[in-house]
Amino acid sequence: MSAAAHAVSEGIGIAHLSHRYPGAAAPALDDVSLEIPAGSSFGLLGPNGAGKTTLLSILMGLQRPQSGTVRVTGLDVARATRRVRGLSALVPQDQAFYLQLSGLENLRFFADVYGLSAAQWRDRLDYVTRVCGLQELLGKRSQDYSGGMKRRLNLAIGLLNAPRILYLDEPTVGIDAISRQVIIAAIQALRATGTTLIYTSHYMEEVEAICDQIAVINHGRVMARDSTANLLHQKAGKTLLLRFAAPPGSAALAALAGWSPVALPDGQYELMLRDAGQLALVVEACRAHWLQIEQLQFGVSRLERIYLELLK
Amino acid sequence: MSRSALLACIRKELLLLGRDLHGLALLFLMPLAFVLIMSLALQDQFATQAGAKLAVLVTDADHSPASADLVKTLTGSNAFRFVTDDTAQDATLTDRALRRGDYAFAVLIAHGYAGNLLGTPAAGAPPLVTLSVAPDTSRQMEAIFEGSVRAALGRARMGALLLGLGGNAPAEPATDNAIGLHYAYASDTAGRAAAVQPTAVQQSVPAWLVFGAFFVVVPLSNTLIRERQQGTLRRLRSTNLGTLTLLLGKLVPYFLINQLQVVMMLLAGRYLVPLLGGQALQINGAWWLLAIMAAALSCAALGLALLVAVTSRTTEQATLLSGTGNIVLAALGGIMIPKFVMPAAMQSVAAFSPMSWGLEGFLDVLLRGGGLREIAPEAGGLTALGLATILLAWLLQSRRSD
Repeated sequence: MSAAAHAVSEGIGIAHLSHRYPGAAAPALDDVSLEIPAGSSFGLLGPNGAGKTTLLSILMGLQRPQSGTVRVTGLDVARATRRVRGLSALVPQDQAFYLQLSGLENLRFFADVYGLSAAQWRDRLDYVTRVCGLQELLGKRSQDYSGGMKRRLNLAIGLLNAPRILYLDEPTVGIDAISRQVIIAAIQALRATGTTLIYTSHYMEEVEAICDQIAVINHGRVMARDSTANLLHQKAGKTLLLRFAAPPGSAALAALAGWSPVALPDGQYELMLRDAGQLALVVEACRAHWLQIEQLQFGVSRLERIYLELLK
Repeated sequence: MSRSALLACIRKELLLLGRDLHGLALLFLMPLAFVLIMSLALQDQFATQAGAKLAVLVTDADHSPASADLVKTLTGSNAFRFVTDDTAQDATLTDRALRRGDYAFAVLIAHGYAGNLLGTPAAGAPPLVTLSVAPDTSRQMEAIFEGSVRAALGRARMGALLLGLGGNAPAEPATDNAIGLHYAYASDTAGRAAAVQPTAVQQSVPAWLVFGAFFVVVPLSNTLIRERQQGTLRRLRSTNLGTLTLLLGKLVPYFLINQLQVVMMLLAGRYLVPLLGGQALQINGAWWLLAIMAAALSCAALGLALLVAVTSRTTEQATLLSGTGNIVLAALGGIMIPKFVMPAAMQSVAAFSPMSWGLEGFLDVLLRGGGLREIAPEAGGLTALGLATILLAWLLQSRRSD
C-alpha cells in the first residue's frame, strides 16, 4: 500500500453519499464522494443550506446516510458508530454548553461525559485552558463571557478528549479579532499534532490560512475538490491585485472593464489578465484616469474569488 | 451506560436547578404559599365550633308569646349568628341589607302569627314566616337553614297543639339527647381513636404537595429544550452519551427534588402552619406508606414532564402546555375545589386526573388511616402512568436527530 493510500485509509473516505430529509424537495447530499487524508486540514466550503452540516452529522454518526458509505479511520460509521464517535469531537457553530455553569464546571461535565480519568482530566484541563486562553475565565459563569470567550470555551470542550478527528463547524463566526486569533492559533497547534481537521467557515482568509485541502459543496453536490495550493494556483498566473490611493470613479472602472475588476472587502481590486504582457496596459489605463496605484500584486489569487466563481 | 456520565448529568442538572431562582420558587415557594394560605383560609370550614358564622336577621312583627317562643327556638342554634330587630319590617330595606352582604338570611315572623299557628292561612294572606335569602348565600346553606326554620315552626305548632289538648309543651328540644354524634376519624399514631381531625391543614398539605410535585415539568422541560436549541444535545450525542443516560440524568435529580418537596410540605404543615395560627398537620400512618405515595407521585409527575419536554419545540410552548395542563388537572382532581363539593358527574371526571389519585392516596394515609391495600390503586395508577410516559418519552427522544 502506498503512503498516500494508507493515509486515506486512516483518514475519511466518503463514497456516493446521498441523503434527503423527509418532505424536502431536493436532497441535502447528492452522490458525494470525498477522500480526506489523515492529519490533513480539510476546508468544507459552501453557502448556507449547501449540505455541510448534514455531512458533518453523518461523519459523526449523528445521522444515518440513506445511501453510500462513510469510513472514518477505516471504520464504517454506520456499523462502528460508537467507536467512530470516540475518536472524534464536534465543535458546533452554536454555543453548545451550559451558560449557567462556569467554564470549569462545563469542562468538568464534558470531561466526565467523555469518561476521562482524573489524571487525563488534569492534563487535558491544563492543555485546553492554555491553548484556548481560558485561564482567567474558568471560575466565571459562562453567561458572563463575551462572544469570543464563549467561542473559545466551545472549542476547549471539543478538545477535551484529544480527538483524532475534530469537526469545526464555523468556530469563529461573529467574534472579535483577538478571540479569532486565539482560536486560529489553537487550531494551527492542533494541525501540528496530526489531528485531522474538518473545518467549515464562511471566512475565506481563515480557510486559506488553516486548510491544506478544500472541497466546495453546493446543493448537496461537490463542486470542486483540490488542495488549497492547487486551487489558488489555477488562477494565480492571471490575477492582478491593485490598491488605489483613492476609490476609482465610474469612468476609471469603465476603462478597466476589459479585465473584469472586482472590488474585494479589504478595499483592493482584483483584475483578471490574459497574461503578464497586459500589466503595462493596465498601468497605462490607470494613469490616463489619474488613478494612483499604491500597491500592485501579480500572480496571487484569492480563495474568495475562486469560491464565488465556483458557485456561479 | 457510563456511571461517570450519569453522575455528571445528575450533578449538572442539580447545579442548573440550584441557579434557577424561578424554578426553585415554582417548586418550593409556590406550593408552600398555597399550603399556608389555604390551611389558614379554610380552617373555619373544617372547624366544628369556631369560625365566622352566617348572620341572620330575625324580625318579630307579631310580638306574641308564641312568636317570642319561635325566636327563642331559632336563636338557640349556635350554627348561625342571629340579630333580632323588630323594627326591620320594611321589605325593601331588608332586601338592601341582604344584597349589601350584612346578612345571609332574614326571617320575618308575620303579624297574626300566634292566631294562625294552628290554622291554615287564608288564600292571599301573608305566610306565618317569610325567609329571605341573600344573593351570595349557597343553595346548600339555604336548604339547611330552611330545614331548621321548618323544624322550629313544627315544634311551635306541636307545642300549641298539645296546649290546646290540655298537655304541656316539651321543655327542652327533643333531639338533644336522642341523637348521638360519632366521628369516624382515624386513630393517630399513638392509637387514640378518632384523633385525626379533618382539618384544613390535613386537606391542604396533601393537595398542594401533589400540585407542586407536578410543576417539575417547567424546569425539566426548559432545560431539555434549551439543550436542544443550543445544540448541546447534538454535542452530547456526539460524545456517545445515550438517550437513556441523558433522560436518567434528568429523572434522578428531579425525583430527589420531588421527595424534598414532600418532606418540606409535611414539615410546613406540622410546624409552620401552627405558628401562623392554624392547626398542626397530624402525620399518621407509616412513613413508608407516605414514601410509597411520594415515589409513585413523582414517577407520574416526571413521566408527564419528560413527555412535555420531548414533544415541545420551545420553552414557551412547554411552559404554556404544562402550566395550563397542571391547573386543569388540579381543578379536576380536587386540588383547588374539594371533590366532595363537586356534583356527581364532575366527581367521576375527577377520577381521571392523576392529581386526584395522588391526593386520594395521601388522604388515605394522612386522614383515613389507610394501609398498603388502601393506597395500592392510587400508587399503582400513578406508577403505571409514570412508567408508560417515561417509556414513550424515551422512544420519542431516541428517534429525534437533534
